[in-house]
Amino acid sequence: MANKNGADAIVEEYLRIDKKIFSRAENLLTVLLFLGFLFGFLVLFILTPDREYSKTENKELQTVPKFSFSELFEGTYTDNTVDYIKDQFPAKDLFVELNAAYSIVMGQLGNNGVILGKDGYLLTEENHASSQGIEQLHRYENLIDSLSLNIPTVVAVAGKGSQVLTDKLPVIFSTDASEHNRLLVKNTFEDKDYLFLDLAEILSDRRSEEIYYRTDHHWTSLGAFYGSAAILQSLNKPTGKLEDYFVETATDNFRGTVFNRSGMFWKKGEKIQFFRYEGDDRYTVSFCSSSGEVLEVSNSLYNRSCLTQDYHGTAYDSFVAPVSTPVVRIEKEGQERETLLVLKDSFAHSALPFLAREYNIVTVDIRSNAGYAAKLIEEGSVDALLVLVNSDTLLG
Amino acid sequence: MVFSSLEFLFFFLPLTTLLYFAVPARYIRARNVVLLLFSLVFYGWGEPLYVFIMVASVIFSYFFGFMVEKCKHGGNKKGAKGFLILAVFVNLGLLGFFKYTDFLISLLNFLPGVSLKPLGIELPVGISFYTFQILSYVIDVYKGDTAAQKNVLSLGTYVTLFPQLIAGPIVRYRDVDDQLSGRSHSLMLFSSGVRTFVSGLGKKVLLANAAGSAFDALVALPEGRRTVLGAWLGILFFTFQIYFDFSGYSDMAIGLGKMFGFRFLENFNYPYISRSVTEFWRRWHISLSTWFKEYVYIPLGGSRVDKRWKLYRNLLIVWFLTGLWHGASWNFILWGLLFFVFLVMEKTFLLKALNKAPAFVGHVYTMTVVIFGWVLFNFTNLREGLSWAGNMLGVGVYAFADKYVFSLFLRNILLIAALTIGSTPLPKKLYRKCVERGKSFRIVWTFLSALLLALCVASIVGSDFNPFLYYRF
Repeated sequence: MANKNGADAIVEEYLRIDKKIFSRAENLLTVLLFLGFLFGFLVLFILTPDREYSKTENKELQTVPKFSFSELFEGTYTDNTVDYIKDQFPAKDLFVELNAAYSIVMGQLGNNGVILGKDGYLLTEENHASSQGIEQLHRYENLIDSLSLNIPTVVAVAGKGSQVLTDKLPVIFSTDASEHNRLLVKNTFEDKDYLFLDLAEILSDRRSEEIYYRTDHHWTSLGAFYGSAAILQSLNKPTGKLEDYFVETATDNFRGTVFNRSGMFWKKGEKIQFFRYEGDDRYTVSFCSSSGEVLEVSNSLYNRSCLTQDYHGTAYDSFVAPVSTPVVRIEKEGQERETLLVLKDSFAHSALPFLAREYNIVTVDIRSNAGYAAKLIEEGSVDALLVLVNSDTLLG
Repeated sequence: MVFSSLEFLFFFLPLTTLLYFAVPARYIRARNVVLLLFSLVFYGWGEPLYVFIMVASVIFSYFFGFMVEKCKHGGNKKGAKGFLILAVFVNLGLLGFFKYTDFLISLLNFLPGVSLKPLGIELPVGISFYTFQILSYVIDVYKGDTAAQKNVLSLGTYVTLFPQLIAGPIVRYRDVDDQLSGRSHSLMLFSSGVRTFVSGLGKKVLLANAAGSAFDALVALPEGRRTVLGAWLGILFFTFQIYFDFSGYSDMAIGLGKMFGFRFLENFNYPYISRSVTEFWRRWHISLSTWFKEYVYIPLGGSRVDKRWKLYRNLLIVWFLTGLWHGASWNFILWGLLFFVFLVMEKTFLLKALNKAPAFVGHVYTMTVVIFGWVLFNFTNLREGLSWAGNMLGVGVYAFADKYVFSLFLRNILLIAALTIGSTPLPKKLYRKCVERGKSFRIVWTFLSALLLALCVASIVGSDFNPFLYYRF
């Protein structure tokens, strides 16, 4: 070779090792293992049928992308193919588990933003709110300020498991970021003309009870009961007692969003409990479009079709309506009741059965449909406004 | 396409290997064509339009090389020089257009009354690398160091060869000239390539990516939460990320080269154990420094000049260009100039002093320069870079350290240990000791490598964080 420098000597050195030390059989073993692995998975990829949906990841999977020259030149064809290969990769779940296990062994305390906590809790890791997140928070602040002008308003921020169950987190894990974010939200809404409830703080006193799911970021029915009690109390409504309810185990194999994300697919499923009460199957529950048009009506506060294995979504959707339903109305026939407008994210869903005891309810998603909420208030068709979200939603 | 992706590992590489070795070894040109076609797919996968620019560059340069040689043989020195200049002009012109137009516009906009809109041209991946390879070909032909390539497909194979196409090593034409027309393949060379490739993949996927995501976590901290320790820890992670990312890529390239019978030069030689900046640049991105030395520094007179100032001028030009090569913005230029300053100081007095001082002084000094260099290098926005450097010196921070940074440090302590040890020749020594020990050790080692490969695949499947730093140059 033309140029012998120090670096070139390294290449030669390795080649010397490879030549002198490794026997033919050993070299053959290396090559066979390597090519066997690559070709083996290529063949498996071709042989295994494609899936449309992954329950462990709660994700619609990419199927064979259609080829067109325009998509090729725009780059979408290759992007879709990359997703297709990744989504349909043979034994994908096993590889994801292996990666999660490796991350834990390396001392990362968890994987992919999920911390492996004590007593089997999987808790999401928060990052300090970005400047865009803070801008988003102020947009929500302005929105709520203007909505609250003509209507009694409560803003309740539900804590996530990782904010409340701090005792379940590993000792060396820092809660700086989640505390920072919680305070950002608190300082924004604390001194307003409307009521502000920091439910994370309120629920902290109950953290020895089963108030959060182990595999999902939402509160359990018990957590939602305590949260709703604080809300109802602030609205001067009776809060009810735990003894008023009978518990129905809806499933004992719930594996929630944090599980989906964690890659720790060896984790067992857990229970979803419905806190049932007399008459909770005699409501009129209307699933509506974003403009309030009724699409589907049911009598139950529980949507049990979301509990089956073949449902494409999370079993948490069984609380009243899938969380993506733009507008939900809950009414009690033959009773004149006040109507509560719930401007919400998914946390509200498991609280709705408790709130529905005292109010007729209209839920509107705060992220996508706030304009409709403004319209309802303007029309005077609602009597009170409850903003029930978690801090992640407010921080974008 | 990048090496650390499923489409490369499980589709591209097996199919290339299959078709390549299906062609009998005696038809080396046909094997070259297989490599050329697959390389075009490899490039076109990410750049379905720009692939045509690369093909055009190859054809132009084939013609220029041919004409340069023809003129030389015909005794037409001026003609040869003319074609050389034309080749340099066309290739640097393309590079300049795609890479530097917007930077130039931003400079022109400083002039009063000028307000031009940036064109927003997207940079063709790897253009900085393949342009330098093409230039080395034409210049070598001009200098008579090599004969012009008669076969345009073979020249195409040299330029587009997928192992080194996107991020080097920058292979000089004369180093692979004879390999293009005749190279040997063997089980030994292939398995050696596999070992190099897998260790490079491990460096990239398991070490560089992990360091990168820790760095990103610290960069994402809002202004009010910055700490001195966080800034140091962050840039330390970046220091490791860029080394393992780039040297891992080079190892993969060298390994793939070996599988197909090519022997590329090493690109890194444990740069972080250097005791001076001069030494660092003998160990870091060797193929680039060699290129600049050969095609810029020496033609300018190098260090064999009659006046001292000419030496400094030559160094200044080389380091300005080295900086600019990395990207069209001030931070890269300043990064290059930073090294110019330290290299000049070392040439005048510092190196002598360092040689007398205990080893650790040299290590600490070199790494300090290199690490502050990486601050400049990483933040294309100069203000952010200066603010980060300020944080490291205690300016603009809210505390020296906080729980978050300690926590991040503790969570990554094994990673930091692996990164530190991995930056030294120690693993190589261990590897040698291990495989020389006996057959059972070699077999265990082989299976451990297979496990490493499986872990890399797990990481690629299980994580969305997989950037390639040198992709943007």
